[in-house]
Amino acid sequence: MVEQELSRTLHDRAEAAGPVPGDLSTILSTARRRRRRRAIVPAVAIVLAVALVSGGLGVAWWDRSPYTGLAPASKVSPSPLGPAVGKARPPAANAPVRPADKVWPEAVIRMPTTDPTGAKAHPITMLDSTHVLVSAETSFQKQSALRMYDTKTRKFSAITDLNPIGDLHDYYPQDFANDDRTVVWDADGVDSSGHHVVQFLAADLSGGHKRLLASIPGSLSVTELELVDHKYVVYSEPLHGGVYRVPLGGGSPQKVAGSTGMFLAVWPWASDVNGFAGTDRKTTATLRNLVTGDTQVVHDPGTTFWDCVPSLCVGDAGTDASVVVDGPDSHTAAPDYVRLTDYFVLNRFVDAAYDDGKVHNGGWVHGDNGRKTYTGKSLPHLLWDVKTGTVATYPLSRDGAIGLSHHSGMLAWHDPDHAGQQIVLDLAAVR
Amino acid sequence: MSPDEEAAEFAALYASRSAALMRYGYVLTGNRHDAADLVQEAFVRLRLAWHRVADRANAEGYLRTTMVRLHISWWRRIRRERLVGRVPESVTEDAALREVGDDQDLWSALGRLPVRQRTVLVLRYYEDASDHQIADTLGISEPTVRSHALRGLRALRKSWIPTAAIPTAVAVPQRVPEER
Repeated sequence: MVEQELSRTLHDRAEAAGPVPGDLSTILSTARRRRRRRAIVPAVAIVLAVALVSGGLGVAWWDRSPYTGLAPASKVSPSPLGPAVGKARPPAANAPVRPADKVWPEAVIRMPTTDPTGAKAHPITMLDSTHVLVSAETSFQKQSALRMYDTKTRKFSAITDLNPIGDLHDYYPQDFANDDRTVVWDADGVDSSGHHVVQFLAADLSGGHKRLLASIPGSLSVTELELVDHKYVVYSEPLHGGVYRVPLGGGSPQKVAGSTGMFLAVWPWASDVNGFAGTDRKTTATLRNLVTGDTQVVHDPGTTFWDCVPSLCVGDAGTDASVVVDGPDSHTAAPDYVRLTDYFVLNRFVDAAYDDGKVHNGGWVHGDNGRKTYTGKSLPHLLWDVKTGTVATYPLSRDGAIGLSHHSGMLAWHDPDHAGQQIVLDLAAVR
Repeated sequence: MSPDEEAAEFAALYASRSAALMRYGYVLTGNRHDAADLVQEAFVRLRLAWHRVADRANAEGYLRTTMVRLHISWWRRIRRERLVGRVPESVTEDAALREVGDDQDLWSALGRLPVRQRTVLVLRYYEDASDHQIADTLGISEPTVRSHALRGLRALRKSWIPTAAIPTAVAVPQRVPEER
């Protein structure tokens, strides 16, 4: 019955969509201007780089050398996760909500929007305080290489390409994880027989040595990877749960004992709550240490849980009320403007939406400098720092990148004041 | 065909099909702003490639595929597909929508689905596309299409009460305890 009603609703709603704003000539001329402006940027940047170098500053801002000519990356150490948050702090009831780059300026870096080959540079995570792991997108939806960007020298270096190993097409790298030596990723592809396969691959952060760790049938889609003890990559089955590990030396994925129906939180912890998996919202959450077998059961009367990490769960208590449960009989409620809380980032931030009850003009909101920012949807995105109670909005830009997960707190969007530059916010650097 | 003839042919395509594509974009995204962006970007991309398009009779198919892939792509950056509540514009914002007699709860529930689930359901129940066609369009396997559809429909069933099934307020007879 819902199928018939859905079909009717979609067709009825579609009739109310109205015309496309703007005539064809306006649309095309606007697009031409946009593209021409983009094309000018590299030329201006090259002139700037030459001027700076000749001035003795030695800043290599732009490098036109091809991919194979880039210098190999050097080894770096990963960013450590901060200590566990104790009692969650609520945001102020009427606090002004400001953009994240203004709230946490210490966590902001800037880098070019494209790499030296002209590919879009999408930051994935900070490898340390100055090195950014970057994927290079050379065509529509196609991440074709991994780079490292050094914010001090302003140079990109090559790590590896992201091409399939073997004869696969419709090939899309999905998620990445790293330690201080290695980067791993999974990718969905289709083999010559038309069968979907998932590849797990690894490369050295120092550059090269790309190798296939495992190949399994099916499609894994979006899941989170984590590297453990320089030995394994662990991941969850995204629909039904179950935590698996793949040896870094290669071999088939092995299911971790005690992980049935569990989703990776932060290794070695897993939980049976994962709103993104489409599971029913649970009123009781179970967290399990997959190494020791220790189990925590979290229950908060009236709360349905959406996501859990060690010592914290986030959920809804009644209509639109968002809470973080931080201990037995202890929860912290967010004010009304914090809506749709859904995911923990770095055991500290809750990804949510900002809703002050006003209409946000179809996805544009005014920043604190009067500039409008595109949010992509009608509610601006918001981060709640449960350690300090601070909240901040962030823009969702089509040309930006969002790498929010249990292990990564990376946001990027184009700098409206500096063409060719993007603002990168590393939540791990928030004090 | 001369450049002028090509331009005229493309303008005719826009004039005849942009409204239908706006409707398609609207049910994909849930709001006019994003729908318009999808339509405009798809036409811009097609115009740039127009001189190379051999099968112009299927131009609308190209535009629709571009729109749905752009829609997924713009949201793909969010590693975690997130629920975005209240995605559809409020019916109070637009007089035209006040005339729509469908189920507001179902439309709202659709807007709360993750983008892939919503996209699969739109392709299935608005475009009448087969699972095979949806898989081709989205670059995913047919089992994944079915999984998205199943999960999306399940979520809709959970959160949606058919209008006809909502009881009106009636006096409930008090139960009289039986005499012992």
